[in-house]
Amino acid sequence: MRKKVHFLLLVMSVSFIVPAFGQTESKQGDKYTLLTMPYINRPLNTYRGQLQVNAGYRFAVRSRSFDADGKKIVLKDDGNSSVLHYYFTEVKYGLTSFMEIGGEFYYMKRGIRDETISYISTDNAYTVNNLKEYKGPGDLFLYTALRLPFEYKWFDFGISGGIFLPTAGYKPDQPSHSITAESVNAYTINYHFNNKNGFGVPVYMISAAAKFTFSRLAFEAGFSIRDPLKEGTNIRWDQELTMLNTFAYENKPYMYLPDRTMLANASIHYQPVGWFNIYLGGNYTTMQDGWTEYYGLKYRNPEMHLFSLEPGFEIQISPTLILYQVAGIPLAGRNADASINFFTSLRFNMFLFRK
Amino acid sequence: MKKAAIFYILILLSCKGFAQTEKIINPSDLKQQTVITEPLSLNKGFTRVGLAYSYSALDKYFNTNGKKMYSPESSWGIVSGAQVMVQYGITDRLMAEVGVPFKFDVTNYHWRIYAPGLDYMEISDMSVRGGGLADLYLSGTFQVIPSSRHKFSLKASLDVTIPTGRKNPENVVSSYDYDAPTGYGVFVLSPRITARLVHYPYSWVVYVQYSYNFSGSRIIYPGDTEERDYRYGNNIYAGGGVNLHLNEWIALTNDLVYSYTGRGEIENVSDDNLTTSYTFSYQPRIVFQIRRFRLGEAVNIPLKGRLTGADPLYVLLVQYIF
Repeated sequence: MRKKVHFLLLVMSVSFIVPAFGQTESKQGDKYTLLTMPYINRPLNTYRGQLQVNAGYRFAVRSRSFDADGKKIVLKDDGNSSVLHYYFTEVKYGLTSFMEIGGEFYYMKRGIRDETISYISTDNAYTVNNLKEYKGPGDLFLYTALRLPFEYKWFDFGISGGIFLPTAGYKPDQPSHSITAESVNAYTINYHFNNKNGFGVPVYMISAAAKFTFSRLAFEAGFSIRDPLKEGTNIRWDQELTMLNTFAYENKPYMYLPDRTMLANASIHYQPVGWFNIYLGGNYTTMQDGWTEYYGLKYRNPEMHLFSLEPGFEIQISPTLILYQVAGIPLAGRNADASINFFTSLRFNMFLFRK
Repeated sequence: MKKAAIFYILILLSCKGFAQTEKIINPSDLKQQTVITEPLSLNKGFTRVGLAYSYSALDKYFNTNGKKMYSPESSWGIVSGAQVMVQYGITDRLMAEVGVPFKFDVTNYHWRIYAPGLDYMEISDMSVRGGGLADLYLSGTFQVIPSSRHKFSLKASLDVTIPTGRKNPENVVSSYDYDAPTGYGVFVLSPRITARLVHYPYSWVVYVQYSYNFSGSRIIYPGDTEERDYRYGNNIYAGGGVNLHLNEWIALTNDLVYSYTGRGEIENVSDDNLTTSYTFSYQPRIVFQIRRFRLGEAVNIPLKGRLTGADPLYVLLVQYIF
């Protein structure tokens, strides 16, 4: 009996010394470790059973563009600067640690103004404003991604393939032009075209990416090709001013082929602490080989090139949340908008079945 | 048995106690509190300096029917400004603040004019520039129900806007080419009540402010030769929000704000150009508290409105507390 009391008291005493809830080292592969994995130690894909939801907003100021010779044009001098609002969401799921499926979706709105022109005669004066509005959801993109079938140490390589489904309803709505009388013989005509987003035809995309880690530095590079599967048919609205100072509309179909787009990107990342990653990226985009039909003839779309610099950072806010901010600064290009843009996104991560 | 008991007591004395202790709060801790946990005014002797930069593009507006419309003309405007602010805690419940704002607004107008009968064509590029010192403000805040001892706290503030900004248009070339005023031209009194409930990691806040505009005189339209008496409509600004800590040093605030401006007068006559307007906006804000340094980003997103701008306004804020 005495021995039992001694033993019990000894256990109770020692239990105060040994911290019962002391921090223990996380085991590689447990949920917390995977959720808080720094960028430099993260593979290109999600882990097995990981659900990742990204939601972001891009604000772009289209105040410059590059002409066909690569010369920078100040758009406010031409009266057609604009802003762009882009809302983005993406869902990914890791079927295995080497295979991921996902879907992307966006909503975008912008209004591009043309130069205001006034026509003055001895009898009448007309001022014409022209606005092309683009508003609505984009096409739904579904994809599968594969990566090397071993744990990420310092090198990773992955490929992905997917398709943009023409869910956006690409054909433009009827314009909403208006005319107002400013005085007896002076009028303002506001042309307002209501366009939508998307490609209008299925477009496939294949990509490859590689990632290297050296100490606190990581390099990532990727290449993608986006190509339409077929030609599409769209409508073009014509308008006629009636005697009642209203507009009558008529649409005519035309054929088109969206451009083939090639994207190359590379970035260097520095991870000073586990929760913070700062990076500098470069992005090169080229679009070519598309055409548009005008009056029965096919006209090749202007070939577009754009190179942008993209500094950004990511902050691990909590085990499930990561904040991203990146700025896009166009440096050079041809036949391209040079929109300075700011993209903020929140990434939510969780494991559905892992404890 | 006695020896054994002494032995066990000695072991117990050697271990760390986990008893509840009174938390010692030192000034350094107080200076690192976040927008959610900090008192509604600065503690005695504390000074906070800050710089805020705001940016918005003039792209859309709410018309008289409350519909969001694009500005149809080929114009391009930027509304931006910077504000230096200093706050000082006179006592633990009384705070004084001064803000010195600067404006960098510019709107460019571009159009082409054809007169075929006269064989004439003109390209016109003009701009309205609103750069310079704006109206500075002084503010006093008193904690009616202090934050230090209650989860619920209430403060009353009074802002006085002093018309230090340029009140008249200058260098007028035409109605689309001049230096715009950077100030209201009159004193404005703005009492404000703010209530907050903190339940860590959350806080809920509601506030209401009324701005009374005194009357004054200014050149109303560029090109006018004489100043005219005017009085802007008064404004009521009310809102509420839910704030939360995403972690110990990052806070996310979400406010819904309603602003209504009454009808103004020119020479004691109600004027159509100073008619009533309102906006209903959402204001998310993320604030990083890195010891005494604070970095915040906010966006004001107009959701509904009438006769006001409908473009988001981005604000970047840096603060440091001494």
